[in-house]
Amino acid sequence: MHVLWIFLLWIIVFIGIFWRQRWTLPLGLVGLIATVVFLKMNMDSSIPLNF
Amino acid sequence: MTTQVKIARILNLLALLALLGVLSGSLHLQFGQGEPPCPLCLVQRSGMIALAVGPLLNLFTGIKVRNYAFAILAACVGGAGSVRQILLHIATPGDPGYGPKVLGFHLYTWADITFLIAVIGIAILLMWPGQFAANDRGLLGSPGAMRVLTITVAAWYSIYLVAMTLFIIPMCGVGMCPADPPESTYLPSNGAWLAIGGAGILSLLIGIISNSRMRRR
Repeated sequence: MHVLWIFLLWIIVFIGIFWRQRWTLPLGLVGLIATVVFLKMNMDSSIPLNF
Repeated sequence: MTTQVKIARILNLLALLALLGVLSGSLHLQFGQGEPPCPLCLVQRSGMIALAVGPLLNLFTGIKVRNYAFAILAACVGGAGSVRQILLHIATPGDPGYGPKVLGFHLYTWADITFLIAVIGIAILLMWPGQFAANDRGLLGSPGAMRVLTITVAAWYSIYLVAMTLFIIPMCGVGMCPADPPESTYLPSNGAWLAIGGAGILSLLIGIISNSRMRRR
């Protein structure tokens, strides 16, 4: 996953806030899940801190 | 509208302003001092943007428990990124940390403190049920200084979000972001502060114009 898509998703979420759309919060949850996936993808070092 | 809703709105707005301050600092480091964000820094930025969504929804659509809940989740996600980065640098002996220090702490430590304060602050706010009983529908229907400030802050976040998104492309291209991105200065230090101030003034203009147009309707 490319981090660019996550930030584009946040732009859509902000459009949802301005237009007061009902899908804003569910889409925000998708953004959070995508952020966690991106975090997991960057846990590539050998230290014993990966989850 | 009850006094409790008014106080809750002011607290949400203050939280957004504090978060804007943190984001302004990180953008100044990126554009004014040539410190591009690492992948874990981008996780924390994503968490900060997500953290702003809850209070913004509270102001735009009304104070709701689910908006606070979303903000707590966002703080947990962003906090996971900053804790990961703190531990990463602790676990490697002799590691000086990533990026410059601000007031004695690295930015990821400040980010972790911010996320922690957000969780504690929201937990305290959730103990106060009066703000939810009023069935608030947001402040877009009520003209005045609070509406101007709310639109200003939302516009300011939007400008930052677009700037962050645009500068991911030259930094990461279409593949994975580099773990240690090369330094690249876009503006002199004062120029970066001017750009941040300019974004604030532009947002204030958007707030004032939007407020007067809504009043005319």
